[in-house]
Amino acid sequence: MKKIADLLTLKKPSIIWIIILVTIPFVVKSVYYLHLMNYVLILIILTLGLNLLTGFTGQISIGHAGFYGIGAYVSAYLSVTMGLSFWIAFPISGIITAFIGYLIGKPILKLKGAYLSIASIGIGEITRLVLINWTKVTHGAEGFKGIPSPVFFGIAIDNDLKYYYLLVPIVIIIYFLINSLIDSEAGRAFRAIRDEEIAAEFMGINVAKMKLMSFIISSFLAGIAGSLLAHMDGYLSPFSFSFTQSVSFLMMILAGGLGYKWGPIIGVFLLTFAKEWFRFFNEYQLIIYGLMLVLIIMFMPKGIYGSFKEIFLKLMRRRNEDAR
Amino acid sequence: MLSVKNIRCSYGNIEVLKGISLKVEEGQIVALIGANGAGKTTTLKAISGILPITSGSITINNVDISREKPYNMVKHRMSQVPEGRQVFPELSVLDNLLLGGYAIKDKKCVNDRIDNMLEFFPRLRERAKQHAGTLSGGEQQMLAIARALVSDPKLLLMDEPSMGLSPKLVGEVFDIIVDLKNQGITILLVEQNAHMALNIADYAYVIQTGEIVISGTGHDMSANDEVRKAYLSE
Repeated sequence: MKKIADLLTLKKPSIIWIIILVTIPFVVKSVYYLHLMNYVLILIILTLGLNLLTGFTGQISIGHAGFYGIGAYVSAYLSVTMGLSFWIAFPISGIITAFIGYLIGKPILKLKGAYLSIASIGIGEITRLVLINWTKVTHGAEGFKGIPSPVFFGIAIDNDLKYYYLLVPIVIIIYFLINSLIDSEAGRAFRAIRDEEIAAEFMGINVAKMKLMSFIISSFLAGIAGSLLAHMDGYLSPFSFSFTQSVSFLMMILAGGLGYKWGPIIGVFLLTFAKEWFRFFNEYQLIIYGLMLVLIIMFMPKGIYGSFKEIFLKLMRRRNEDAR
Repeated sequence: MLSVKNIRCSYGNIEVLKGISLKVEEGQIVALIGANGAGKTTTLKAISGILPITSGSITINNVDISREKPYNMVKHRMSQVPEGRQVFPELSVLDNLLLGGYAIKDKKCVNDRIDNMLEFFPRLRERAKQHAGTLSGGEQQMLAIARALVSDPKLLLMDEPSMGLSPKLVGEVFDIIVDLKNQGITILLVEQNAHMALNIADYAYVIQTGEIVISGTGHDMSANDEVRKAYLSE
């Protein structure tokens, strides 16, 4: 109960951010930008989970597009083929993805470092191939069509503006749940595993169990993000859950700030919008996008949020010393 | 208190411990000394369960812990100060100490113990909010010891607490070890610094290529010609 009370007594900056989020559609009238914003919000859900796994627990996954895809297809299958409502398909897609995460995580989390990354690439690729070839369930390469929009008390959430207001509360709730998890005893254990695995075990932390827990939570979040994507676009193609997608998720949290609470949020915003803005460069778009990523990694190894935080702390310290 | 009987351990095909036996009585400091690669750290890893033993047995207060998982060792009131300190560098000093009490359900008790530790190591109180990675080597060693003590252990395993420290700090660390003994904590000390270790040890074992070759009281060992020649470079 105490945790729920903590959530209700929000700090001032969080309230300001929530107000900004709610008022964005009144300022941004363009449907195109609003659609991008929705896409950003969905990716924030996914990368918050990936940041818990990679940034806070130190286990690198380059296969999260797979879990994103599983969530999307489970939700599509449940609502189209089985005719269930979005409000049932949405949580179930998360639970099923989490369960698959459990089955996969149990063996592959025994691997460390680069070996784990390579295994996770394999998982992502297997998922993609299953989505393409299991035609009976996934409709194969032609894609999954006609996924219905969610209906909220008789109102069909069928345009970008309505969908935006469906996503905002979900993102806010997940953001606060993830952050209170990171600040809890379990979160401290995650960070201990990231820093020194053997020492963490001496402290009495069941390392295998905690790693698995982090993996399950991150696949759950990838699953519900996939479900939200399916019902927003109404159409799924197996080719959008590729290896490149997994890498770009990782790039987002790296560029934003790996292991910082705000890292994934800033990374998703920047990378999604930058890619769109660079469209003016036509065929050079991806070259400039790539160059930007290289420059960020070279000059801001802690990501944009991490680097600015460090500069800010340095300035504060200097000011305190001057005052003395 | 701790009794290790004839344990064997291998890394792949290579047998590293060829039947080690040792005993640690309650309230003693027992030193395990030896050269590089003799199997000192491996012995500790075997005792704490990080490395599975192929044969032999380990008991603590007559409870068999040969097959116990490392994260359950805290429940047997055994704690370890790992080699090279291994503090959690990206976590604050306070978070490091809190992790020391991770396995203990009674959090009020943990907070009291942490208060005691900050009393005992005032430098840590000054730096409680700082990242542990920014501490000096000596401070990190203090932190590693304090962190191991938060779980209120009866038996403390220490792996090379003098490693990488200046002679003055080595002296300080050994003073702390004697202090802990006077508080009633039993200590198994693994050291390369044989001179210092034998000075404070009640009993000592010399390990060579995976076997115990000599053992005796700390005082006897300092006087032993063979030990003097090989480990005290006299």
